[in-house]
Amino acid sequence: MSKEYETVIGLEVHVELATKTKIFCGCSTAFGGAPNTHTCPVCTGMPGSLPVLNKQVVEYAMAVGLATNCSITRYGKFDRKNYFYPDNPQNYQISQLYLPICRDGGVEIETSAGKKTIGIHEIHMEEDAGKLVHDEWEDCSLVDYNRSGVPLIEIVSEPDMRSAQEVIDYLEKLRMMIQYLGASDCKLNEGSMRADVNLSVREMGTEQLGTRTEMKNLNSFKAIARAIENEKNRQIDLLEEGKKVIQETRRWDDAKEYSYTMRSKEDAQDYRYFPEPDLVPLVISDAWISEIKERQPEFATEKMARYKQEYGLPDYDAEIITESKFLADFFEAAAKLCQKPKKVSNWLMGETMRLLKEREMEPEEIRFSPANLAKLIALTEEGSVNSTVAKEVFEKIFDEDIDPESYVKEQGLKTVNDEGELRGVVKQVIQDNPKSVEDYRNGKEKAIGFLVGQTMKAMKGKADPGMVNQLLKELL
Amino acid sequence: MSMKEIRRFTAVQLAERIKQREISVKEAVQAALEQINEVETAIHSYVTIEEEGAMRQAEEVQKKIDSGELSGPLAGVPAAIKDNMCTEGLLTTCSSRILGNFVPTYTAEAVLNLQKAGAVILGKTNMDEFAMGSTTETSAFGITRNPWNLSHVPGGSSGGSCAAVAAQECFYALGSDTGGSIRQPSAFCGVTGLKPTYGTVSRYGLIAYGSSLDQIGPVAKDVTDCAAVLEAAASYDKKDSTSLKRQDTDFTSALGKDVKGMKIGIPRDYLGEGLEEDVRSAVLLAAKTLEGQGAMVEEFDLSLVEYAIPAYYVIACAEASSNLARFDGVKYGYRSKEYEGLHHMYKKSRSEGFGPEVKRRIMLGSFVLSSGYYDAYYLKALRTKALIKQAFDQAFAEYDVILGPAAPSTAPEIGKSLSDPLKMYLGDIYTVSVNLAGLPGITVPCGLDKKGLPIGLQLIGDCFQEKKIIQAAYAFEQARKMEVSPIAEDGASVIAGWEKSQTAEGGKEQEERA
Amino acid sequence: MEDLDRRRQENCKSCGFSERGQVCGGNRITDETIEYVGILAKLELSPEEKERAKKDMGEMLDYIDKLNELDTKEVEPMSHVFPVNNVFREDVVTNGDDCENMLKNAPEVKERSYRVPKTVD
Repeated sequence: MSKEYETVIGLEVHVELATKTKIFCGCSTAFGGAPNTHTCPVCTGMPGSLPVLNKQVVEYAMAVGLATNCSITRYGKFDRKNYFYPDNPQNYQISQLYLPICRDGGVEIETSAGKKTIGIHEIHMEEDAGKLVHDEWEDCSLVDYNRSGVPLIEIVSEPDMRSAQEVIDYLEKLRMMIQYLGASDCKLNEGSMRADVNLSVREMGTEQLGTRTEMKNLNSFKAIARAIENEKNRQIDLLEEGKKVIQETRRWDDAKEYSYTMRSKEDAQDYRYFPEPDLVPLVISDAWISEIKERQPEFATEKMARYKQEYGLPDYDAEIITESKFLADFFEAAAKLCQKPKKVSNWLMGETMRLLKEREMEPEEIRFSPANLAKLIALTEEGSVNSTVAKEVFEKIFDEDIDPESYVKEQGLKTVNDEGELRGVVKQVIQDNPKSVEDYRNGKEKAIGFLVGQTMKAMKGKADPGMVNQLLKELL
Repeated sequence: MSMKEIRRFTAVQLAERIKQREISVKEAVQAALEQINEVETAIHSYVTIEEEGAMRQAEEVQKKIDSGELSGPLAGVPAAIKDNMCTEGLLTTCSSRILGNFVPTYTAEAVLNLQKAGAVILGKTNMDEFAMGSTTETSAFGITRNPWNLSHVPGGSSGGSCAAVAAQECFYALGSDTGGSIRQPSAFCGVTGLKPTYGTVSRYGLIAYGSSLDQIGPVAKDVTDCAAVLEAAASYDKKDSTSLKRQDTDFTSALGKDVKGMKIGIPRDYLGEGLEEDVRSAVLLAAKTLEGQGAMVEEFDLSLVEYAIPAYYVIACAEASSNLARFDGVKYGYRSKEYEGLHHMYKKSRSEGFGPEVKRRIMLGSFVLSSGYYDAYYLKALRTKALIKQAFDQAFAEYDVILGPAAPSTAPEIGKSLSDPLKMYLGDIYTVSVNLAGLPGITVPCGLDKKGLPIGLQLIGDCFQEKKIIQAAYAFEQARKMEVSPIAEDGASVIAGWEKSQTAEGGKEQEERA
Repeated sequence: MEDLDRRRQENCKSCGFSERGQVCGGNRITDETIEYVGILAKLELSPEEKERAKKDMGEMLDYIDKLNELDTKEVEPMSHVFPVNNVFREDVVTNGDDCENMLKNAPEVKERSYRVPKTVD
C-alpha cells in the first residue's frame, strides 16, 4: 500500500477569441442575445451554406502562438471532425488536426522548486458549439445556435504538470498572456476559457505513462483543483485494487464533487477527420509573422519593470498590478488622470484588493471607472476629505461607481478646516474626558489618540485629523 | 408565332426575339408551360413546377426589358434549375424524402446570377437523390424518362435538367456535375452540357455531395447557349472560399473561331474494352470531322484511366458521408414520427429519409474515413488524385483538347442499372477523372445509335481553358445538323404511341404469366 | 486499437489486409463492421439491408483495392486541386437577427429554439 505515485497532467485549454464575428460567418459573437438571434445559414448548418474564414481569428491564434514560443505552421489546413450532437449543426466541427496553426511552444511557471517550462504541443483553431438548454417540464432539450461558430483556439499542453498547483499556475500564466494580447477575456465562469484535464498516474520512478482520462466541465480554478485531487485518488485506488484505468472522457460534477463517464454505445469516438474541402489552405509568410510580432503588446514582465522605473512602484505592487491586464490598464488610466501613480497603486493594493477578496471577485469584475478613483485621489490630495471618509467613499465607488465629488457634496462629507469651529469641539472633548487628559499630562502619549478619536466622532469623521492633533496638543 | 415555333428557338435566339418585341416573356413562359402540360406526365423532368411564380417573374422581367434595365443575351428566357440548388421560397428537395418539405430562405449564387441576367425560373428539376446516381432512378419522387425513348433513363444525376431541355420543357437548365452528372445525361438526352473548371461557378447554395468535386454548369440546346449561360452563371463569390477570381469568363468570345491547328488528343484507353461500337464509331467520326476542319488529331496514352473510378468513389463518398450528416431531423427536413431518444431519432429520421443509394454511399464513405482505414483508403485516393492530375498536366502539355466519349454506352433501359451498383459506377469511367483534376469538360451530341438514342462527344480542356473546348465544340456543331427529340416536336402522339406499346407489352407479359 | 485490428483482420481472412500491393478480392464485411459503421453514420438498416450492405461494401472495397497497384509512396495527398490559399473575411458583423428564417424549416420549435429529444450530458 505504500507505493508512491506521481500524477501526470496535460491540459487542453479552449479559449473563446474576442472577435466581433464568428469564425466562418458574419454573425455577432455578442453574449446574451435571445436564442438563435445571432445565427445565419452558415452557423446553423443550412444545406448549401459555406464557411469563410475570419482573418482576425488567424491573427489572434498567431499572436497567442508567438507569445507562448510556438513555431507557426507555414502551410496549414482545416479538418472536419465528424460526430453527431444537436449543438453541432452540421454534425461535424471544423477544426485542425493534421496541420494546426502553432506547434512546439512552452510557458514558464514558477514552482517551489524554481522555474519550470510547461510544453505546448499545439494550438489549433476551431468553432464552438451551440448551447443546449434542458427543458425539465417537457423532457426535451432546446438548441440555441448563438454560440455556434464562435471562434476558439485549443491550446494543448504536453503532459508536463505534476500537481493541481502547477496546473493553476500554468492556467493563470496563459490567461494573463492572452488577456494582455486582447485575444480573449478568459473568464472561466462564463466559459470563455475552459480547461479539460488529461490525467494519469504512475508509480514514482517509472518512465512509462499510465492510462489517462480526460475530465470535462471544470468551471473554476477550485473545481480544477478538486477534480484533479479526486481523479488522482480514483485512479490510484483502481491500481491498488489491481484494476485497470480505462481511457475515457469523464464529466466533473463540482456540486457533488465526483466525476462520471461520458461513454455510451452511440458514441464511437471515431471522428473520421479529413481535410475540410470548403476551406482553402492557410499560408503564413515571414512578413505576416513579423507584422503580428510588431503588434504584440507590452507583456507583464516588461510592464512591471516600467512601473518600477517610471512610477517608482515597489516590486510587490508592480507584480500584483501587472498580473492582471485589466488591473494594469486600470492603473495606467487612473494614474494618467490624477498624475499620482503611487496613490493609485496604494488604492488598488489596499482597499481594492480588500474589497475584491471580501466580495469574492476577480479584478476583471471591477465595475468602477478609473476616473472616479482619480477624482477621489484628487479630493484627498487637496485635503477635502480625510482618509476615513475617503475609505467610506471608495467603497461606494467600488460598489456603485458613484462620482465622489458630487457624493461628498451631497452627503456633506467635506473635511472641516475651520479652526474656530474645531477649537470649540476640541475644548468640549477635553472637558468631557478628564481621565484621558490626565493620562496624557502624566506622560501617556497614547492617550491623545483616544482624544483625537473622540473629536473625530463628534465631527462625524469630517475633521482634518492633522489639525485635530495640532489643536489638542496646543490646548493641553 | 405558334408556341411550337417559339419552343424551337435556342435561348439566345429567343432572347433576341424578345428584345426585338417579336415575342413577349409571357409568351415564352407559356410556350414552355404548354409543353410541360403536354409531356410532363410521361417525362417527369420536374419535382416542382412554378407555374404562377413563372408568370409573375415574366411580368417583372418584361418590365425590366422594356425599361432597358435588362438587355443581356438571356433576358426573359425561361429556365429550369436542378433541385439541389437552393431557391428562396421554392421547395428544394435534392429529390430526397429527407428534404421533402425544405423551403430555403436564400437562393444559390449561380441562380441569383441567372436571375440578374433575366432568367425566369420555371421550376426545379428531378435528379438522382443528392446527385448520387447515373440514371435519375434514385429520386425519391419518381423516375424521369428519356425524351428520345420513354423506356430508357435520361442518365443522371442531372437527368431532369437534361430531359427538360431535350423535351423543350424549358430553354436551358442548370445542372451540377460531381462525377459526370451534367455530361453523361446531356449525352443520353442529346443536349449540350458543360462542367466548368472547379471554382468557376459559386457553390454557395448548392447542396453539397462531394464538395471538392461539385461544380454547377449549364445544360442547353447548343454550344452558343451553353457559353452564354456559363458566362452569366460564373462569378467570383466571397461566400465560397473555393471560388476563383477569373478575368476570362467571357466564354461567348470563343464562339465562331475555327479549329485550324488545334491539337486534339484521343486517349487510347477511352476507346478500349467496354465501349459500345456505335458510340466508338460516332466519336471517331466526330474526331474526323474536326480533323477535316483543320485540327490535328491523334491518339495517345493517358495513363491511370482505370484508377479514376475507385479514387473518385472513395473521395466522393467520404465527403458525402460528412456533408449529409447535417440531415438529422433537428433543423430542417424530415423527422421520424416515432423514436425513443436522440440517437434513435437521428437513426430513424435518416434511415427513413434517405434512399438505398444514398445510404450505400454514406456507409462506404464513413467506413473509408474510420479509424484504421483513413490512410489505406482516403489518403491513398488523394494520392491517386494527385497522379491523375499529373497525367492530365502531361497530356495538356501536348494537346489543347482531349476528345472521347462521354459514356461507354447510350442510355440504358429503365430498371436495368440499380441492381448492380458497381457496374453502374463503371459507366462513369470517362467523366470522373475530369472532376478529380478540376478540369472543364463539355458534351455535344454526335449522332444516334441504332436504337435511335443520342451519343455524346466529350471534349476536355486544361483548367481555365473552357474557351478551347467551347471553340472546338462549336466548330463541330456547325458541321452537323441539330437533332431534336421526337417528343419535343410531337408530344401527344409520341406519348400515345408509347403507352400503346406499353399496354401491348404488359398484355404480352400477362399472357406469358398465364 | 485491439478492436480495430480485429476488425481489420476479419475483413480479409485470406491475406489479413490488402496493404501488400496486391488486389485482395477478399474484403469480407462482418456484421460488426456494418453495425459499427451504422453507429458512425447514424443509419439503422433492416436485416435485409444489412446483408445487401455487406455485399455491396465488400465488392466496392475489392474494387477500390485496385488502387494498391499504384506506388504512391512519394506522392503527396492532394486535398485541394488548385493552389488557392488564404481566403478570408474581415471581422465585421454583416448579419442581423434572422432567427425567424432560421427556424422556419425546423421540425419542432419551442421558445425560439430547435426542440430535440432530451440530450444527456
